[in-house]
Amino acid sequence: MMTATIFKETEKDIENAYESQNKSKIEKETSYVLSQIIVIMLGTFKNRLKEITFDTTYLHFNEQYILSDQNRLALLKWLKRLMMLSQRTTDLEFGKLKLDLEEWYYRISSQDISFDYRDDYLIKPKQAAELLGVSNVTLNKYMKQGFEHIDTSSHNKIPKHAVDLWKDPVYCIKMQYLYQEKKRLRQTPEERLSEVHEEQMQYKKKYKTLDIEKAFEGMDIDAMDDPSDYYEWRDLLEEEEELTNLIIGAKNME
Amino acid sequence: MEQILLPADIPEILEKYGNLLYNYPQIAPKDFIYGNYKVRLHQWEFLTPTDC
Repeated sequence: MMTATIFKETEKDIENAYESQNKSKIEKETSYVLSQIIVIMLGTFKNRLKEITFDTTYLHFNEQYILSDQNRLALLKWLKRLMMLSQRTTDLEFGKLKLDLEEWYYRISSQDISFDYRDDYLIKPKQAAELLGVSNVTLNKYMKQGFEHIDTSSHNKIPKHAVDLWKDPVYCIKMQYLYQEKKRLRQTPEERLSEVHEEQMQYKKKYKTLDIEKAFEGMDIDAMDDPSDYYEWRDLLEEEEELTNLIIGAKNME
Repeated sequence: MEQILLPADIPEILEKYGNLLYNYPQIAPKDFIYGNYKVRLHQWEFLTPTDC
């Protein structure tokens, strides 16, 4: 944990750095807070975390973000959280910290940070599905949307906090947002197109037709209790067209 | 007046308005009792129950 004296000194240094808009000092404060979070998290949560790793050896900051008032507020908020951290943190609180760190790190650097968990902190997808009250098929759908899971051949691949975070309305969305945002950055239009096709296939199977108009023939979409399938399928068709245009355009330009 | 539509800052929206969102885990097995977020090419879709 951080001592009150260091907390106060750092708080002062952060405010000074932003007041003078001194880029090097802001970078230094940001690096310091980041390293403190990592050291304190690894020390406090030994029973959950094995290690935290980065996909780069050199930390390059997004200048626009770190100089912004948003980052100043984020730094001050992290300091307060570090002061309050205790070993009796619940899985939910730990999960929130982990996800917030992932999000903040992504904002300051546009890079990935990875968390390696202890084996006994991981549960089976079947257990997670039971705890959420959904089927295994639904859990698979959630995983594609961003429900945290480890890419491993082991049966235990869900960190315990993922279930609690999914039940939290804000962190449930945050988890999906971050996952999809990062995935989208790494994905080519061709890869996305194949996903769009796969998603459309699910609707074709469900409604037993190739055509969206046939699937919803004679139905008043606006009067439907849950029209989300119609709108999602329609959006996928639009996205398919746009991606195809993009791919064809890109190839024509070569 | 022309207005520029900036990309939505999801974390900021969640921070400001997150208190309006709800989940309903007790009415399983409906999928959409949990928040549903999907990014599309030009839009993002956000389906979640709220208290208003």
